[in-house]
Amino acid sequence: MIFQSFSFLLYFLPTVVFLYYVTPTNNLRNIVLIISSLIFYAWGNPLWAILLLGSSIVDFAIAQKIHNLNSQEEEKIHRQKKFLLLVSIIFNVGLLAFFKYWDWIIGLISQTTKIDLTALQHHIPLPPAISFYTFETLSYTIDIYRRQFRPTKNFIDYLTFISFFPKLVAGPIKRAHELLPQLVKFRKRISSRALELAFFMICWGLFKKLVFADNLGHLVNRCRENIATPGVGLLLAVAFTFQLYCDFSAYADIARGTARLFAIRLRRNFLTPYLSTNPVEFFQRWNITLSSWIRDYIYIPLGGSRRGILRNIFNIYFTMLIFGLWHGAGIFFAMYGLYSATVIIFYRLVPIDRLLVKFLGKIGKILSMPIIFSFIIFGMMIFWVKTPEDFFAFSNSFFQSIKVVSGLVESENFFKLGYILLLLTLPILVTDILGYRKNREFIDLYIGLKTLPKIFLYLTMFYLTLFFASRGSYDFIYFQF
Amino acid sequence: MISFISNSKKFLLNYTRSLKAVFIALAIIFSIELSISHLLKNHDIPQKIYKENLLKLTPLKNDPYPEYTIAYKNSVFLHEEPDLLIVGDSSGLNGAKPLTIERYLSEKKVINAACCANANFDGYLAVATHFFQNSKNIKYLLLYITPYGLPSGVQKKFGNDFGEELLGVYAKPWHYIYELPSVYFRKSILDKTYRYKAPQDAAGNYENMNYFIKQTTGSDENYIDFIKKSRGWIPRIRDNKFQEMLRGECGPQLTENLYDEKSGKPTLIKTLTKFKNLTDKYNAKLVIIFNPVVCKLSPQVYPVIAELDKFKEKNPDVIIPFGLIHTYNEEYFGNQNHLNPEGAEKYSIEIGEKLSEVGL
Repeated sequence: MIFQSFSFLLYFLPTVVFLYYVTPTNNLRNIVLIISSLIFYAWGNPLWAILLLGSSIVDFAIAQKIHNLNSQEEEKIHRQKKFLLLVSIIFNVGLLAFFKYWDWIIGLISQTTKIDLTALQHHIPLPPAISFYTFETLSYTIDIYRRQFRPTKNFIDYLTFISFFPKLVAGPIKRAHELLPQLVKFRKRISSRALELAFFMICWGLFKKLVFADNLGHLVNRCRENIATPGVGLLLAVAFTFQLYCDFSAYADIARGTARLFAIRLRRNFLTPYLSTNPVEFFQRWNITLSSWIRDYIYIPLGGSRRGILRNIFNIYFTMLIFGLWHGAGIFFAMYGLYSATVIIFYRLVPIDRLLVKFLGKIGKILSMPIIFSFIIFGMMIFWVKTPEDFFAFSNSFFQSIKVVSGLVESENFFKLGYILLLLTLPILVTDILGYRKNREFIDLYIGLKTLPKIFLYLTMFYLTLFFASRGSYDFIYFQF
Repeated sequence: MISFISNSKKFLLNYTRSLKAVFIALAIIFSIELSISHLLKNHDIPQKIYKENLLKLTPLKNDPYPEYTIAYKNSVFLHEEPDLLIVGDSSGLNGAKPLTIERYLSEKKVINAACCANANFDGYLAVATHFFQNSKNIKYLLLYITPYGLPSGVQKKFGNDFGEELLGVYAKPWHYIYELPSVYFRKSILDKTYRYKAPQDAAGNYENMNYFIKQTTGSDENYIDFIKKSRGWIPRIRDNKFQEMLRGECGPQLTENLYDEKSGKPTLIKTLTKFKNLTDKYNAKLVIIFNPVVCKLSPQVYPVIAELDKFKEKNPDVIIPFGLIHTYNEEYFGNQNHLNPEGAEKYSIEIGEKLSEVGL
């Protein structure tokens, strides 16, 4: 089921909220959430729900076992714990590897060795959300192994944590210590203020998805069709960068708003990322839950920046490679990770933002934003391309943009497409700047508004959606990951 | 539960207050829509809206042919009040000539609203629902499909995204949102904003179709003018896929489309039942017609025929005049799934005669 469908908004969500609040006990409420989450998830294919259940049961059992061993200190017990953790990691990574990477790896081996192994490919479509819930179950087991978290003995609570439908398909990736404590206690009815914010979050998310993300998606297609035109590569890069942001942050907004209807708070996943001044800040503001997961469970255990420069460089490359590959099986996802690592290291060596701030103060900070943004859009294009031919066509057109802007090459299409791009990105940029000034997202500012601006916002969202939204929406991009 | 209800009055009041801005915005929207509806009372709002609310109208891109054709037909034939409505895939678009069929039905009006297989059966159903909702006169719904376009085959080839979109815009309970009076201005607002005029109603957008028309009629009449006159029929001349037609005995290429890819079960009866339910709801009769094929009846297609028989047994009032396989010589085809103008004329005569025999 998808958030932007009428069946979700008009039937599914109101029914679940009603059933949830008429249910008297916490256990029953969580059962309502589990059942509705499984229906939500299994809408496309019931087998996916079985996979989710299976994975949850295995990790719940292993985590429980590790916790039971936590009270004992002997060396033998420690080895047992390690073994159990290893089983959990192998199981989860194996699941991900089987569904997400197996066919790709076999294809690569076949290509490089010229031995036809394609018969070994399973061609099973990737179950949605598997990358998200696998990371959640993994973090649960690891946290318990590290004694950072006490597991719940109640499987219902645990399954609610894993399957909770607002964040199931495309995050935010939740840690057990953030969500489970909210699920084990009886949630009071939400306040009227929380309801108001939840409603706005859902509306704003839908608006961003249907009006901006989808139309930017159309624009990306137009740019792709005109990629031979000089300069269009640049427009394509900016359009896709904003499409991805609008699409993914829209999902996060709807997810957070929906969760709030059940008096559950989900962590934000974005914080005006395109106004960052350096790459590290960007990853602290972009897909925050994945970035912090990778940092806490890969980068820091590898040693982070504590083991010398060379080891640190290796750690950054390795961590970002995993970050890239998490998005999918493809050489360009890996390249995206490696490119991001290179930019991070480059900024360590030449801290452009700090130098600019040092010499130019506030203006320097503002100037550092478009500089890192230009690195970001190039990275996004590596993320976007599927084949080397795509990449070369894009790069060729991208680097010719200077000639077009300076008038050396004429390109009518560039300006036509550029105008539409401006139309679709400017509102997002303006609302982000408004949020950035208060170190928040635009949606957080809503509650502080007076009634009149709120009415204006709703009217704008309604009519722009009615006129500008396509009747058939694209799926959320992150569903494929 | 009891506490929930007893406390709900107080909470509801609080909640209502918190959504004050939403309610006021809704009231303003209601007033705007009412005013537009009043101001445009002399204009045919639904006709324009039905044409434009389906279209994507994305920047710098013409809408694809199926969207455009369906939107256009649903709009332009809205007030035609047909007695017999034809829906289905492109074999129907090219195979059923309303003006020819009408000659055999005394004073009955026929409209061909069929378009394209990528609309899928949900799409055909959405179009039919749209016409039933807007026309009280329809007594017969004719579902016209090619035997190669059975539900599972169409699903496998095209998916159902477009079908669901059509259901959303025309048939689902929320389709009224797309029909708000302000949608009347949608295209002009988009054209102005994008500074690009979507070439609505302009000739030359669908060169193939215009070419077919030119080859058939010898005139430069554009697609839209032609479709208005022909009541929805479009000619199809022989194309380069003609050589790939399946000749000899009808076989697995047809039968394999009977079974669902995932469950392995036949889906024909389930799909046809949706159409039967629709006609029952509007007191109309369902007619099912399969496009002719070049191949000949063979035991290999019996499983499909058996499914059809089962459906007929359950629904004896459904009219299936030609059965599944109706073989025509290949000279009557543009390609495997489409009759050429001569074939369409011949088959439309047969359809007219058959329908008149059963009392239409």
